[in-house]
Amino acid sequence: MTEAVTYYVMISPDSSVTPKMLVHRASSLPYDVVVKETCYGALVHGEREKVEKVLEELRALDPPRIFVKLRGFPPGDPRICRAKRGGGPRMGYHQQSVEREKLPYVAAALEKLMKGELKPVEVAVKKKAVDVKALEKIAQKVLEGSK
Amino acid sequence: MKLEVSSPDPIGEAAYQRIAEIVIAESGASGLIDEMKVYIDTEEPVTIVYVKYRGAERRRTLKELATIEAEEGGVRVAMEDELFAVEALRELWRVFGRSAVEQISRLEFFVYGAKPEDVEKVEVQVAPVAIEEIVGEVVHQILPEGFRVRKFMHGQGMLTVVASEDPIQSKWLEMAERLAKGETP
Repeated sequence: MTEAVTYYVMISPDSSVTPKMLVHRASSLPYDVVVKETCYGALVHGEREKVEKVLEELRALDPPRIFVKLRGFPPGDPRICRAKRGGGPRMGYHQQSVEREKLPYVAAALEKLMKGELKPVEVAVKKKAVDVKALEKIAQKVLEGSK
Repeated sequence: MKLEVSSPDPIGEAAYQRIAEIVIAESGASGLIDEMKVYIDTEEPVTIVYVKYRGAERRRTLKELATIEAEEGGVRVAMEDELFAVEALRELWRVFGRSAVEQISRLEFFVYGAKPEDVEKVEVQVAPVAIEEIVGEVVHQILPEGFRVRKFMHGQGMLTVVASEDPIQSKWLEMAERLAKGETP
C-alpha cells in the first residue's frame, strides 16, 4: 500500500488566498485526498503522490505565500484533537503560531528571489552538537522570562 | 436534475432537502448536475454527497442549452443557464459574425438572418475545470460547516465527498459507495 502522509498548508497572513479557497481548489482536482479547512490554511492527507500533486496546485495559487510542512497526525486525529482533550491549545499550536507570524518576511524574500531581485547565497553549515551548558542557559533564560 | 436527500433523522432530512434545493437554485448549476444524493447521519457523524454532473461532455449544442425560436428577421436565443451565456455569445459571434448577433438581455440573443436549425447545432465549449469548481462549490455549501474533514473521490463526471468532524472511517467510504450505487447507505 502507498504511504499515507499529512501536510499542513499554511497561508502567509499577507496573502489574499483564504483557507476556503484552498479547500475548493483541492476538491476540484482529480486526486482522491482528505482535506480539512483550518484557520491558518488546510491539512491535506492521502497517498504521498496524490498529496504532492495537490500541494503543488495549492502552492500555485500564491507561490511565495503558501507554505507546506509535514505533519505527524491525520486530520481530526483524536490523539491531538482539542475537542477530545478537553479544550486548550492543540500540541504544536504555539510553534505553528510563531512560524506563521514570520511568514510575511519569508514571503517578501521569496518574491524578490522569484523576480530576480535577490540572488540565492550558499551558506556552508557546519553540523555541531549543541553544548549542554549553553542549552541549559537558554532554557533558564526562557523560564525566567515567562515568570 | 434528480435530488435525493436521506437521513435517519426525518427533521434533518427535510432541512437538508431544503438547503440542497436552495444552494443548487442559487448557484445556477442545476443545468450542470444530473443527479445529487445527500446522506446525513449526525450520530456517526458523517455527511456524504454524491454528484453526477455533465462536466465530462465538454461541448454541448445550443439546442440543449437554450430555447430557440424563429422570429421575423432571424432567431431569438434564450439561454437557460447563465453559466454558458458568455461562451454561447462568443460562439455565435464566431459562426454568424459580430454584426449579425445582438445581445438583447442578459440571457437573450438575436441572430439576424439565421435559421433555427443552424443556431441549434452551434456547439458551446464548456471548460471542465470550471465545471468541477462550480460543482465543488455547490457541494461545499451543502455540507455542514463543522464537518471540515473532507475526503474527495473523483470519477468521470462524478464527485463524492465524505465529510465529518473525525478522521474518515473506511465504513463511511463503503456507505458512500452504496449511496452512489443507489443502495441504502
